[in-house]
Amino acid sequence: MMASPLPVVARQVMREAWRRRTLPVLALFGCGVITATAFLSFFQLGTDIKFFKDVAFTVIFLFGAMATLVLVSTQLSGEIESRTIYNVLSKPIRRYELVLGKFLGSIAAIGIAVAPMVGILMFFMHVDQGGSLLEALKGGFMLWLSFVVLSAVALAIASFSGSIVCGAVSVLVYVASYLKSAVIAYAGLVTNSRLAGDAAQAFYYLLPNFENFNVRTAVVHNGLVPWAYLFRTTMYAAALSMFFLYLGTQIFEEREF
Amino acid sequence: MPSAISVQNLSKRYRNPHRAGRAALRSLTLDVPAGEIYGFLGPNGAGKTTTIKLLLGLIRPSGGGGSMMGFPLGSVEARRRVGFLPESPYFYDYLRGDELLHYYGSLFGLPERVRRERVDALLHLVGLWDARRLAVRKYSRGMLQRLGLAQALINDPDLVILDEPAGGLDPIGRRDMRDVLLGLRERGKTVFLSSHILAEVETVCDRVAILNQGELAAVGRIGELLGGSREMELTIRGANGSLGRHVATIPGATIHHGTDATVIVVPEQRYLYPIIELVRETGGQLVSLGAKRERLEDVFVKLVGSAQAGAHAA
Repeated sequence: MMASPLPVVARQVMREAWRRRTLPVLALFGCGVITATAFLSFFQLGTDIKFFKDVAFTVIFLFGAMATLVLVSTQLSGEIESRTIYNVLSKPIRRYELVLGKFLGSIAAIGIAVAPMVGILMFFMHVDQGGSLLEALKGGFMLWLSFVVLSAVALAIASFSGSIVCGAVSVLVYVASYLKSAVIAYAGLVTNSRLAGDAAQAFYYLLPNFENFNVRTAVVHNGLVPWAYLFRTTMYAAALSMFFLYLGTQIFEEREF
Repeated sequence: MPSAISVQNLSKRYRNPHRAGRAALRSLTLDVPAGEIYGFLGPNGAGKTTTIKLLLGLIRPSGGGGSMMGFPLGSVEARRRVGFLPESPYFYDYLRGDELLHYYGSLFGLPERVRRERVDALLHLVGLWDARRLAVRKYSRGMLQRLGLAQALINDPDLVILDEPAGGLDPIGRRDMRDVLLGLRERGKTVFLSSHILAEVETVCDRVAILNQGELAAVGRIGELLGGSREMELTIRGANGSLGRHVATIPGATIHHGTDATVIVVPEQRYLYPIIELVRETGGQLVSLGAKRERLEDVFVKLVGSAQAGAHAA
């Protein structure tokens, strides 16, 4: 019985993320912005910890999403465009194992990139005694879950497209998923068309609801993120990721190189 | 002798509209005996790379099928026993040479100790030991080709598929590559060698298959393909005009005036004696005389050239 190549591919993705410098630079920059915000908030502006937490979560969200899109959109398409795919797929690895390995490596690398930003946020919250560290950790985890889903979506798109198309479409999906409630409301208000309403409904159910992962308001205002909600959202992320990964592996299975 | 590769009626027609004009491969039936070096020849666009991609499962056949090392084409079990060097190999440029080999070795599930031994041995074999800690992006074309060969051998494969392995190699690199191929055959491995360098193929291969326009044009042992020509070849120094006039009267004979000597090819031995007599009478010098040995290049040009001429005429 041969060992699964999944961890081999995952480690390779993490090594690539580190060597190509994009992820460490984004993480470093994010950490720098959060730290600078902390000093500005506490010593210059005299604003309270809520402002700092709000900005910190925004930074983690922005830099994490950027890191996810940059890393994941170049995974499969990068292999195809640089023709390294021939060397990999001529080895005893199944195509779905390559896709899953890429996914696992990507979400691990993104987790490693996001962790120090969350750590700095928690450090300054601890210094300022500005709320529950556990809730901040939960908030960071929920953000990472959203990046996990985004990774699965981006890999599904990458299974049939190039890196630029994948990056662009993933951004569109991500933004649209955040805006979809507004789109439905707009469709309902502006048109009386049944068709427009149905299309808006389909749009609503087809796209992942990334708003589910947004617990920033609760954490910033010292609210609680219930464990049951955390569990449900984790299950939601797992189900969505599996769906998009299944889609991606099926498409990738049919591709010719 | 068991077959390392056996394909029957293998066909491929691309769905891509830009390539839909003709089938890339038409009903290819091929048996590659184990333990031999098998040359796979053909002009550009003949379907060689398509065939290799079909063998490895990188693309799917439109018809037919086959097996590699006893397992279905493209299956994981088959690929476990195969090493592959693509044409102009590309690698992860952020890795070092040794890291790259370790990565590919890991994909075969090789334990670290075995991997380390193999990586070290292969780096020595292909002459990249000193460059092992260099990032792949700093490798020259020839070094990449050597690294490509090393990664193709990382699993100690029973079958090695090489697509234009001499591309980018200097003469020493080519000689080294030839030595590696011969060494593999000595160890009972099968080598499936797709190449444009016919002299190289003629030197190392036991058998060849010639592919043209997606179809098998010829297949057989090198000796069989080159055939038993009855043509004779003479090399003469100091030939004069009367010799040329005489040769012109022989049907099928050719004369080629070089700077230093004249080469005459006659279709049969009986035409030799009058020529030798004429050379002696005119004070010329017979430098060499022997049966004309057909080269693989001649066979290739004959097969491919006539098929292309036929296609143009049609």
